[in-house]
Amino acid sequence: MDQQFVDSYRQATLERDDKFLRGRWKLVAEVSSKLSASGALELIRVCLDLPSYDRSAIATLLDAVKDPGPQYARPEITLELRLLAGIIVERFLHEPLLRTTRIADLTAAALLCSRKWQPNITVARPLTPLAEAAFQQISERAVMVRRLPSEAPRIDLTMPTLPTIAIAEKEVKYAFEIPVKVQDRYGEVQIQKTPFSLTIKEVDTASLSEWSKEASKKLQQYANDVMTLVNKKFQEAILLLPSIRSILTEENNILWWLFGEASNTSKKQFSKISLPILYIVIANELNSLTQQTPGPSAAMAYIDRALRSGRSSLPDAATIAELVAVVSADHRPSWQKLMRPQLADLCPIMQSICAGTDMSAKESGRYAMELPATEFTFQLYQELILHRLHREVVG
Amino acid sequence: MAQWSCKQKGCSVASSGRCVDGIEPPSGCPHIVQVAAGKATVSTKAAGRTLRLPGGGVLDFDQASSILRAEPGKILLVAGAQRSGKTTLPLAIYELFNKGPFAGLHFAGSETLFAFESMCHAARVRSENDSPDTLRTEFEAGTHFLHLRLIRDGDIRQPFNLLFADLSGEHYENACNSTEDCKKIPMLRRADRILLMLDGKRLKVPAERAKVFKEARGMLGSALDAEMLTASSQVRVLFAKWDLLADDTAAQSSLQQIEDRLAAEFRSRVARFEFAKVAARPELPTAEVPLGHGLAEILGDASFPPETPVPLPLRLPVPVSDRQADRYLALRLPHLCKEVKAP
Repeated sequence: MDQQFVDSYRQATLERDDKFLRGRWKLVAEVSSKLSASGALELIRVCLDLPSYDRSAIATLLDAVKDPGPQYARPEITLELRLLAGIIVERFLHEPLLRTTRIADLTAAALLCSRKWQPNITVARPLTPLAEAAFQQISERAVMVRRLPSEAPRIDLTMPTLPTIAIAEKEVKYAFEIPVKVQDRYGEVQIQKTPFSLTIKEVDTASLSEWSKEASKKLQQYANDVMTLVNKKFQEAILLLPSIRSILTEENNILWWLFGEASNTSKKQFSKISLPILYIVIANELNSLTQQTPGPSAAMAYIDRALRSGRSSLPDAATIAELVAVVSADHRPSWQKLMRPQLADLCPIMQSICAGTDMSAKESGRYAMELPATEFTFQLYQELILHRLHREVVG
Repeated sequence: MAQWSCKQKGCSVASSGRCVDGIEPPSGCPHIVQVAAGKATVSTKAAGRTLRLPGGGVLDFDQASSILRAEPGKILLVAGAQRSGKTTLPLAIYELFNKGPFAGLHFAGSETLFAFESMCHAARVRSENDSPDTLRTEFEAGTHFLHLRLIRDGDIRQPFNLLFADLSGEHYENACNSTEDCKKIPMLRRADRILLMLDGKRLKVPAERAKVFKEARGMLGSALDAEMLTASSQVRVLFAKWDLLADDTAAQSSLQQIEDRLAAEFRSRVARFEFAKVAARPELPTAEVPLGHGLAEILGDASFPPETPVPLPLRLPVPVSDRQADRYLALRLPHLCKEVKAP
């Protein structure tokens, strides 16, 4: 059982024995191992005390922590539930087997988008480790999905060991009688048979033939294996080519986009575009140039570079209100079309643009985002990436 | 195991466990009352919905746990010798809230109103006692709780709970002398704050001071030896009934010695070790020692710090990669980056 979990959970229980905590830890493991995309988003909502979208996605968790509690408390979001939600999300982003999944990418991106929401009630689990886990996940995965193969595919097949053969010899004895003409003392020629013997060592050809058959079989198998592997690696390499191409294209396009210092869509220089609109232009165009999700690990730096081109300084604080004010009513439907209802409450900037009103005036706590221009644009870019991830994961 | 009693005449559920109307389980009967030590919870069940009404008595372990699961809360364990004012402390706080906001905090409810009221009764004129008194508590060590739900000024969305656990005088005395007895008080380890009450009435008597010091020292020493207090524990030693000591300069100099000796011995062994002078219910409140003297400090210390929404810091990890594209972030925006160690 994770000691950090025990320490955190202490806030929500008086239980003295390990049995209860072990049960809760088991629940954390169970829920995180079977977490769906909508479940992950719902956990983030619970953790940040946001209104629910789909409680059924976390039914296992809700059933397990059902507690009527005191009458004044809202049973739907208890401290324990929020605590557990945070712990599950954090574990999900730390567990080696889980964090390489697309759902983990979606979870991290959603956390990244909602991190500036400044929850108004005491958060049981400090949000910093959660936000750090999300940043870490996005950063590592951004590098992982853009990794280029550094060497040619290798064929690592060991040569087969051929059977050994002990060449057996057998001795063959040949006996002959050689007839020799011999004259006796009377001068008569007689035929005399002289015995002669010869011993010859002969190789056992039967075992040699057996060995030859077996060796040939093994060599044939090896050749087949080599061919299969070469084919497989070749297929993989071929299939990887579009991905490699897209990685290089993405990088190349972004570089030229930055170098050009001009908008692809409006054909104007970045320095000639008024600032609140530039936030949208840059976030949108970088999103279009991004071919792999999550976006490049240096996205924030790209945004900073683009924003500053031809400008001596950037405003310290960009707000949703000024952004919403510059989006014309004609553009709103395209944003509304893009917006996924499952993500609306997790994407404050996009939600405000779609609504066409300054949400900060309505719910100052949640939407009162005053961020430096670079961070503000990065936030909008992340919201767009989150939508793409959600489409990829959920469909 | 739950014990039942029924409001209907002739129902023997209390003795037999069977409802006179034949409702199984008996908890489903609208007339039934669940009875446990020091509390009564009325349960009504209709059409599959259960409504649990708070009994208002002191909370047991499960009820206190239930509050902690619902909202942020802290446990304050009040320890001290008999008649040192342990129960008076939460009661005085409750009574101060009866008059209005106190220490920048507003009363937002309590699950133990009945317990508070019944305990306060002896201190009120209506009790016809000669002087204010507090009923003695007879609970097991640290297993029953008085509850206050509070809200900070202008911060209605962040209520928090204070649960006062009371360590009886008997348990305190046992714990002073034995680490084994200390281990029997798990709440010592769980409590967020330990308020150790030193009885001002006894401290006023020169012959008693050494004994009071010895008890406090014994208690803290035993708890630390038994590892019921740890390096993360927060202890506040309270010189209670300060109204009796406020004018006694001789006593105050002795108290300073007690304070110095306790601090020298224990301050380095726990996370926080502080002293405070309190007079929860002074016999004759004055301007110097008013009603609830020193309690605001305790409440302020125990309450959660005001939650000012602070955006989470943006600290981007620098990926471990040999590609220049991945290094660009750290080169351009080093102030936003956090170095990550290579695996």
